[in-house]
Amino acid sequence: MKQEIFRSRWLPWWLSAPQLIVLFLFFYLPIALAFFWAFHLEQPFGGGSEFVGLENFRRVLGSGEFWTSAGATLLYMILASGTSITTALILALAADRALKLSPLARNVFIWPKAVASASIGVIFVFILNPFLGILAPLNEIWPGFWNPRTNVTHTYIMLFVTNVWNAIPFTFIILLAGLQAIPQELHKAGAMDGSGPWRRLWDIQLPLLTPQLFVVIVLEVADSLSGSFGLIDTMTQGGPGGSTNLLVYKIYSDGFKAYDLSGAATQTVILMVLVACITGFQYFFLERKVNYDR
Amino acid sequence: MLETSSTAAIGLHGLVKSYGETPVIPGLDAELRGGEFTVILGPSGCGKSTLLNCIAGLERLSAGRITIGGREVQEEEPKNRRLAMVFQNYALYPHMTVAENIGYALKVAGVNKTERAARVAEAARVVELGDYLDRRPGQLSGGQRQRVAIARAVVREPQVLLYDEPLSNLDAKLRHDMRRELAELHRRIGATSVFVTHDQVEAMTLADRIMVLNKGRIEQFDTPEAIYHRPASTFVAGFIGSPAMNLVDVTGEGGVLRLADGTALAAHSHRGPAILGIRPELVVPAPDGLPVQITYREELGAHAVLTLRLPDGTALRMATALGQRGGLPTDLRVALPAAELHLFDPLTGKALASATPATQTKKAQHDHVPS
Amino acid sequence: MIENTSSIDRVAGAILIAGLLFVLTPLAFVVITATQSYEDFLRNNFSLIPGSHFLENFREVWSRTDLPRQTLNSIIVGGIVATGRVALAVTTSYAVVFFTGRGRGFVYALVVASIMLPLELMIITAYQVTANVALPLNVVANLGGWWGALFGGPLDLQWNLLDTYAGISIPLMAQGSCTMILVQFFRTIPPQLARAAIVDGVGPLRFLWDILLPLSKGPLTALGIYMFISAWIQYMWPLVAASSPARTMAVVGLTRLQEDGERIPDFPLQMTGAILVTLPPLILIALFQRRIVRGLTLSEK
Ligand SMILES: Nc1ncnc2c1ncn2[C@@H]1O[C@H](COP(=O)(O)OP(=O)(O)OP(=O)(O)O)[C@@H](O)[C@H]1O
Ligand SMILES: [Mg+2]
Repeated sequence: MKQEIFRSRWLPWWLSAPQLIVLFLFFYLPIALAFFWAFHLEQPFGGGSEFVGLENFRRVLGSGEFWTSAGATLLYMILASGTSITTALILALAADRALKLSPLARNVFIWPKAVASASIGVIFVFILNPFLGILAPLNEIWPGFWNPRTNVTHTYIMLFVTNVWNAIPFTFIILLAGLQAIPQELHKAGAMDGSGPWRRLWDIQLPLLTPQLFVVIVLEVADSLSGSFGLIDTMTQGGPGGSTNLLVYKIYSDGFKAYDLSGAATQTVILMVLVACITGFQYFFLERKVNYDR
Repeated sequence: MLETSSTAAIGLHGLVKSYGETPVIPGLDAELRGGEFTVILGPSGCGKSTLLNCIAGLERLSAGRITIGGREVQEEEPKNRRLAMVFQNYALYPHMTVAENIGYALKVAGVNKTERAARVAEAARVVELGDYLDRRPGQLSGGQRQRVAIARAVVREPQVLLYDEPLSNLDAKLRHDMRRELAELHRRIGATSVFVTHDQVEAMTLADRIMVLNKGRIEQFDTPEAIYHRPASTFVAGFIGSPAMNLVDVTGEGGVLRLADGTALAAHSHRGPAILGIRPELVVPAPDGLPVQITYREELGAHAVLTLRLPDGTALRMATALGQRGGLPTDLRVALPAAELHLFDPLTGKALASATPATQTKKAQHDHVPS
Repeated sequence: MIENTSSIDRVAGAILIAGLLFVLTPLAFVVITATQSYEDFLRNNFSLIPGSHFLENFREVWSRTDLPRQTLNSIIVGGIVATGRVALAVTTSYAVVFFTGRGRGFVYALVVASIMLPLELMIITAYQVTANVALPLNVVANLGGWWGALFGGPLDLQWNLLDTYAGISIPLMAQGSCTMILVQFFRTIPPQLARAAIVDGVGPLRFLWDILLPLSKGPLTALGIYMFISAWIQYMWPLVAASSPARTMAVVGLTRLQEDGERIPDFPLQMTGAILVTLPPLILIALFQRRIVRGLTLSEK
């Protein structure tokens, strides 16, 4: 419903100006600057910049380290958002049934929203510590059973478990609201048509949940990236052997530790284009499968 | 093709349904004859939908038994009860086309594609929806959606068809048309039908028999004519008929029914206190009748409804004869013909057996009894 | 509900219990570990039995670390960000929803686009901008050298916001989700309300202040709380934008307790710190759960 009630030429612009200024300074300008530095080289000892064309891209794309990092980033985005959405979906489906536990679950499942990714990283790296944590006893029985410090698979499992823990709330809230918006009559009609609960899940609930699933997928893919920094900085620092050195973390190290402004900006551009492409892909291909009829 | 092989009677035996502590249906017995069109009528919240959902198997009974075609079904899943249901807000699957909506039950039952398509087409033809099979429900009008819902129900060739206020979301004109179509459909497929409504016009026009529900109890279960002419209680008397039947507290002594202030109202042999009921259209002007005052006049075109004041202040509604125009004398006198009076027990509200109007015994013989 | 579902309900119940255990167990371990002394911890490793050293640990965190100060910083930044984001969102959504005219769709698109690319992705250049907020002025002034021609020398203004509350807070406001939620909410308000106001001769600003804001108090509080929590749990931006301990936020401070050299880290102390850092937003979320959920799900309709 559009309201469009007041007529005024300048007032709406004055009203939106503060937000537009903030967005310009800290959203659009940084994007533009990243593009600027991706094509320029900062001159040593400050002062001035030099246009270098595609030189920065050639340098970045020529390094194996970048490709490892980009691959790890894609893998992480897909698996982290996949695991967290699946978990939240299962929990939402369970909480949608009016059980005695549901109200408690609905409250508790959004608590992780109050915990920063870095805090939960500190906590899980302790809980999953191979020598001091809950899995330490198993390590004593079978040495090497669990060692996220050296075993890449274990490292990723640790990251995904932690990410799922942290990412449940938002996804859970959206999906549960979507499930509860499906009219009870449709379940009844389905039951009358001979469709059991399991079949109704596939034939009725999931198709009608596609708008929420779409929103959640789009947001979770971006969120898994931004949340990854807190986890990696506190849990793996990019290790073992650079296997979890995701682009977000690599850009941070290149820019703030190695002071390679142009290299970091170039990778920023690549990462932003990657995320924009994924979002675009989702809009063009996934959104077609969304049922907006209600 | 959509003829049902057999029609099934529905038996409700000691049916109890409570939500938590409060019983919505405190114990109900009834026999719905096979092939009949039964309308369940009652005010909002009286438990109509609950009763229907119990029959459908969408709600579990708290106690009692339900039989369909002689088979006990209260423990059966809805899909095994051989019945279909039409919901108030249609409950169409928004993400499926009309054809998919109608054919979903068949698909679930594993009916093969060609047979499914044929039966869907046939059901769509019955409700005149053939041109819309590829649309989504969102692209249909209210009436068309309702037809899809009906087609979805009849496609399974059920023994029993359940309707929960299917017409209440339609506008007046469409409601009228759909009512006729439903009657027509029922005549053609003959399935036992149970139709829930709180609209007395729907009930009177569609029903073979009407079950009037009040707070989960049956007030009366009879043909529309009997319900209208022989209401079993003040509740039924007040609920059916528009304008509603007049209900006046009276006391009978010496062959006369008197108001509290002693005014003689009508001649009747009843003795003791009672509630007198008379339909507004049966209150007639009479030169030697009771003097009344007209306090309000509602002109309805074909006739008028007057609110009268009896000498003791009691209000009485009177409907003028159809086609009558022009003013009534201000010093109007009316009579309540003894043959048209209903008497009810003032404590229980039940009709008093001693006071059956003469006309009703005559009418009762005309009640058609469906085979 | 519909059919005999006890077996499904049992599975659903088991799933919920598993979920509750998954969410609560780590928190329980944090609490248990926080009650042990370092010595106990070294002796027993991981233990399920609560100790009795919580107060000692807490006192140590309170007096020996910067966390109390940093918690205060988190409260300040969280407050600024929440107020700022809600205020910006109110004015922008009001302009987008309640006014006729060109540009509204464009403004809304500019705002919504900012949801897709998180600040974490452009951290380097956001840092650069914050280091000199006057940068765009310089760029414009020196474009084609007209400033230099007029005033004899390029414009070189410096306005560094790094390590200030403003520099930490304002970039965190540059994200449109708050506005998007509020736009959805404003659209659910019946248009008759504003029409009635016009008929009564009420101007747009007056309508905003006297009618719309009081009407939206509930959703606005919920949004504010949610935005406060979102700011509190930020990590990457506060890490780079604040260099002095006096401006560091609590979450960053917590991770600094990790950097403990060679010996086995003092996990009980860390976990006590984690409690201090996590408890304020956790209490908010547990208390305002219903409101927050209602506010968030509004945006997905
Ligand atoms: N799931 C439920 N839990 C608790 N009470 C219920 C439930 N469903 C219905 N009721 C109560 O049972 C009573 C009867 O409800 P029901 O839906 O059968 O009424 P109805 O006659 O169909 O009314 P309407 O004409 O408004 O549809 C109502 O008082 C209602 O509040
Ligand atoms: Mg009902």
